[in-house]
Amino acid sequence: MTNHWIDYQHSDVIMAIGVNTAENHPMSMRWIDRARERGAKLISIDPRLTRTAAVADLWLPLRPGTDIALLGGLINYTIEKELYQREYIVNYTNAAYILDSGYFFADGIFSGYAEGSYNRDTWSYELDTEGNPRKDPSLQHPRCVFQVLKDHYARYDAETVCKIVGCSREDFELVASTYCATGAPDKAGNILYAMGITQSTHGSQNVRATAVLQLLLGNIGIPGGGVNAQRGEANVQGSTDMAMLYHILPGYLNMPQGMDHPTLADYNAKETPASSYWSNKPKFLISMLKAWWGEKATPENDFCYQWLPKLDGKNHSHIAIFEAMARGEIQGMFVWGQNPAVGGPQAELERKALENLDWMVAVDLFETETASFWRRPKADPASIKTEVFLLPAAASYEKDGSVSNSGRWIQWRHKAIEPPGEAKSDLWIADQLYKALRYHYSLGGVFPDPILGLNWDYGQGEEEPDIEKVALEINGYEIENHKPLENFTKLAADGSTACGCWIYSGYYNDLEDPPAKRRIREQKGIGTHADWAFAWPLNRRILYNRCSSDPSGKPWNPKVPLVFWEGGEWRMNDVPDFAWKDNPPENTAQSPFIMLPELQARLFSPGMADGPLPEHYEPAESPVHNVLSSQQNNPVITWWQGLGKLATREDFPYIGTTYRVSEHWQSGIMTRNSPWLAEMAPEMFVEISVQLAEKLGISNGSQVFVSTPRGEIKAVAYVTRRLKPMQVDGKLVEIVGMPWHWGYRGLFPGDSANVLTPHVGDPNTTIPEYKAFLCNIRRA
Amino acid sequence: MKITRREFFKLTGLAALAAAVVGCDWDKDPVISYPLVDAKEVTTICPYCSCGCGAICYVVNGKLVSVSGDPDHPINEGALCSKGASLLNLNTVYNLRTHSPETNPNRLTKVLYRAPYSKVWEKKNWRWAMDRIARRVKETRDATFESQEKGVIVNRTLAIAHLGSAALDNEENYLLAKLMRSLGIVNLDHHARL
Amino acid sequence: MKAELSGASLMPLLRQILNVQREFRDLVIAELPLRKKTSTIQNYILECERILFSPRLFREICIRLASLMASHNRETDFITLIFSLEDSTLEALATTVQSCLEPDLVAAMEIAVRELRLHKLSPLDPSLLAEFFLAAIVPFYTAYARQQAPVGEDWYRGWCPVCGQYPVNGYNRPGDGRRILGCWMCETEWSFSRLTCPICSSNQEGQLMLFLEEDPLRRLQVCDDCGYYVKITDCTQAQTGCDLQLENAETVFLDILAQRKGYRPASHPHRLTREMR
Repeated sequence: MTNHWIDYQHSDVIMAIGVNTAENHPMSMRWIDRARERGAKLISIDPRLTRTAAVADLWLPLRPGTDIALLGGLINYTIEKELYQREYIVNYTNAAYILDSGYFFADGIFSGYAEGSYNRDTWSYELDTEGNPRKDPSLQHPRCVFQVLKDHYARYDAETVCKIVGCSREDFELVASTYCATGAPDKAGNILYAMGITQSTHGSQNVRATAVLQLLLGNIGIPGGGVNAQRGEANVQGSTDMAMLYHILPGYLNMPQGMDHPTLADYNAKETPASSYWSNKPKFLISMLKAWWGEKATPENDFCYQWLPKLDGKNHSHIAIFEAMARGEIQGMFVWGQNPAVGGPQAELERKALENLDWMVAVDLFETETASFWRRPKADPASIKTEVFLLPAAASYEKDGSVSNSGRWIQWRHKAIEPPGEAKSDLWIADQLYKALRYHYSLGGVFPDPILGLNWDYGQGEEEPDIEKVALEINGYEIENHKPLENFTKLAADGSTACGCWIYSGYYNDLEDPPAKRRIREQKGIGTHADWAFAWPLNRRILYNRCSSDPSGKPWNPKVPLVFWEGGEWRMNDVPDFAWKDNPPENTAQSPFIMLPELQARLFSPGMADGPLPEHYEPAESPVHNVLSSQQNNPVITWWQGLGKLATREDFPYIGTTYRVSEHWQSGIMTRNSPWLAEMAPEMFVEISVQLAEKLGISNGSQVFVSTPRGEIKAVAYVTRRLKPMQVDGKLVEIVGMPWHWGYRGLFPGDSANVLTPHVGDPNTTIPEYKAFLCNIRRA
Repeated sequence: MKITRREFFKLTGLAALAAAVVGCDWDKDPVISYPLVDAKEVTTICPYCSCGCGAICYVVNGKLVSVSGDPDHPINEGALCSKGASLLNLNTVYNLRTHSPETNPNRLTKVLYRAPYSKVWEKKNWRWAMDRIARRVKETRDATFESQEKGVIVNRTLAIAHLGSAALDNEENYLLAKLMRSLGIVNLDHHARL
Repeated sequence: MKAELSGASLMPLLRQILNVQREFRDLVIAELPLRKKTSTIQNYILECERILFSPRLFREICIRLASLMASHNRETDFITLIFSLEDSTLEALATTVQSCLEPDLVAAMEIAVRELRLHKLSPLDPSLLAEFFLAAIVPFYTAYARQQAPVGEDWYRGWCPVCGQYPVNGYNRPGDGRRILGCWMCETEWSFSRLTCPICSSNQEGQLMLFLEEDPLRRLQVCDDCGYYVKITDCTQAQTGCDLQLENAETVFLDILAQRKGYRPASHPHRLTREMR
């Protein structure tokens, strides 16, 4: 999230696209309703009449996977009707930058395409003689970003958009006129999204499209605005920040690649840009290496840089890991608080792949489907070789530690009670695991240095580790005296500071009164609550907040001033997100995005795998042809081997889509074992329209089979008017909707929707396409 | 202990005046010998979605009695959704027969072990499990460790995977990120990718 | 319920006294109305403001209360004394209480009683006289508070915004469970953090709370940092909040138990805290 939950109260129009916020983030409605009490409008864009849509001012039903078509239509509407905020985009974005003359786009393909991937050289700016990008602040140059954007989205006219999306012209016009009116300087439009946007073969571009629209309307960096990704789990923000992902190290430093970064010097040279705050990257990496390997990390040995593993240039994300497992390339696996046997795409493939493991260590509160894959229905334990360890973990209130919410607030949770039986905190388990490994490697082994040399001293023997020591290490400290660092501006690249995750620096900088534990409510103000917990980075609550004021420093909306220039100084209701010290407005007006080399936001982005501008493609499996170009799918999708044959329109005529219900959470392992919740939502069901039910002779409450080439599941049919057949390019299209919370364990077992979903994902992130696939349905 | 009426006025306002009039001897009040029950309130953050709602755990004699919305929390101001309102169940459920609270019987309370080709879980102790896991990790890592690729030091193993976790705390994730990288694991991913 | 043992016999008289006080509070508001002041409160309002006082009304309250006392116990005769007092004496009583409000209200009233030599005019104990007159002056404070107390979330401190007293009790309000503290003197109620000690502002995360097994919703919140306690009634699941004055009397058993454990009630006003600590 660029903003935070409470800030929703300042929005004038809220557009929830690909997010059922009333159901899956119920407390968001508290703040949406505060805004609505002031007259704000809520728009819901969703294939189903969800609980959010049911209470919204406007609902636009959208065919799964066509978000770019809709958002492109809104971008076009904004430009065509001149609703964009000109002063904002000229100053705060790259709208005026002139593009390289080699850039082009034709029939769904951008320049540089060859054999399933792009050479991105032409997705760049034309440089002047001094090597700086050329700009045209009048936005007239035919190759300036604004004109290119305008041409690109001129194809997304209302008629075409409605044909693709399957909505009525009237609904589209209403949504467009309502939302795009937030281009007025003092109006705030807020886009909320979740998995409906990301779980797609063009998911990253879906997100980009929301950002482009928000930038055009001047909605980024302002109270009540933003691109607000509503994340699905209590600490998925924190686990991402801590780099539980193959491609990064804590604080979003790229993992070293064998070919690109053989040495620390290579890494620093290639990874450190000349401008932007990332020019400090060597400080972040070297401080992390000092946190990890302490005294062992010296300038002479490049701070143990070579002890970090290096990537092989290949994808090692979730889908790739299971593909490798299916090929027998992975022998052992740890799985902590995660349940891919229910939550992973093409679940039967992933369950079967687990059989190739020699060993698995699962850590959870309850017995997961993943840990018990060897005794799943139809499996033969006698033929499964895997040795499985299932370790009992403590629940959230049975241990101490912090979690980061979607608004980047790092909040401390205190231990209230002891865990039951022999259950232990994950911190303890990690500590014991390390100690056992250290013992065995102390007896010898292959390259034991990084393990034995690890800076690891959180507690003795089998006692609970001292979490404060871990928190201090994440926060950062001075090597000399172990004093906590105030924040990351104190980091050094010479080995004099240690810091486990630079963006968290400041969250635990006072051992007596750690900011993450603070609980002081704001009494008067705009809902920033600066003394309640700590928001990374630097306790900043709204990112890019220089944009909340005009170039001269006057707030666009004087009713909710955020950071503004008054009486010859910067005044602030938030920590400024720009170089404000001794810097008057004219010096900061063109550098509000300090993490980008341009220091300005990218309407046109050279950094994506699949194009500098979001372009509509059909999902991997779709009932129709792409109306906009002859390029049916995203041209740089990886077609994984495990995917097998795609569903054909003839055999699998309906669009399948998955979602969640308020009573369950993710793969359901916690909620299906909580009696109150399991009782409220005990059974797996699929939702179909009244028309489809009539056509197939399915009655409400009866059993049905839903199938795809990946498998078949049984569920209760829920015949509902919340789903309606859609007119898509002259064809009537039906949607089969289903929650994905069930599996073969827990109080009320049920079939898993992910048996049906495909092993295919976004080319930038490899997030699977759970939201749009083809399926069939029949009476059981 | 002697409680004077004057002190009592401070405690109880009008009660002291009324007591004087009606005639009431606090010092002989039998309540003085009754045992008191210990309780405490501890704040927590909901482990479900990412709103980050606050809740208060009410603990009596070391047992969790209720988990309710934290009224002081600026995000949820005391309210909780269906999942948040059932947080108690992760630890404590009510027995259907006796209606009395007990530890959720589905919670894992011992290390469980499944031997290759076995049909059952066996209960094990932590020390045995940690030692055995460390041996297996070492075996796999050492057999598949790649020191170099095309002359570049890479120090990795592609044969071990690690998934998780958005359900863990920051400090826990940090330690795992550090530990798993020190082992050379690159097949490392989690929920955020889904 | 065992709790009834301490205080139940008082309740009929107590309710009657409260009724009289509240009836006169409304009379005071009707006769001496105030315009709401909007200026920001520094420490508390009565630090630099005066309540409005009427000797006539004060005399009337005294008479009503005195006859109430006499109806319960003939020996507690305040009536004779009251009839012997001039308006100027009553005014002096009020002024004295106000001018030394800060240290300790009960003590202030006792000083006033002694300075005006009222104890020489009555066979009753001076401290009992002080309690009586305090009960009689309360309606002027409650009337003032009713008209001047801040509303909503404007006040978020441990002490009473009107008269600066620390609370002796409070409740978790129905529904969201927000902590409401009440002033034992002027009956102002305000909301405050549940996990902060109102007296010393220390964080009460995981701090001890005590209650009797028979009455689990009435709890002592004790602070080991400052040694004070507050009595809290949990009304989260109830239909309504509670009358803190009555609740205070009904939970006398908690005061006895808290003091047995060595904790003190904080009925002194805010300004004294620092010196006392």
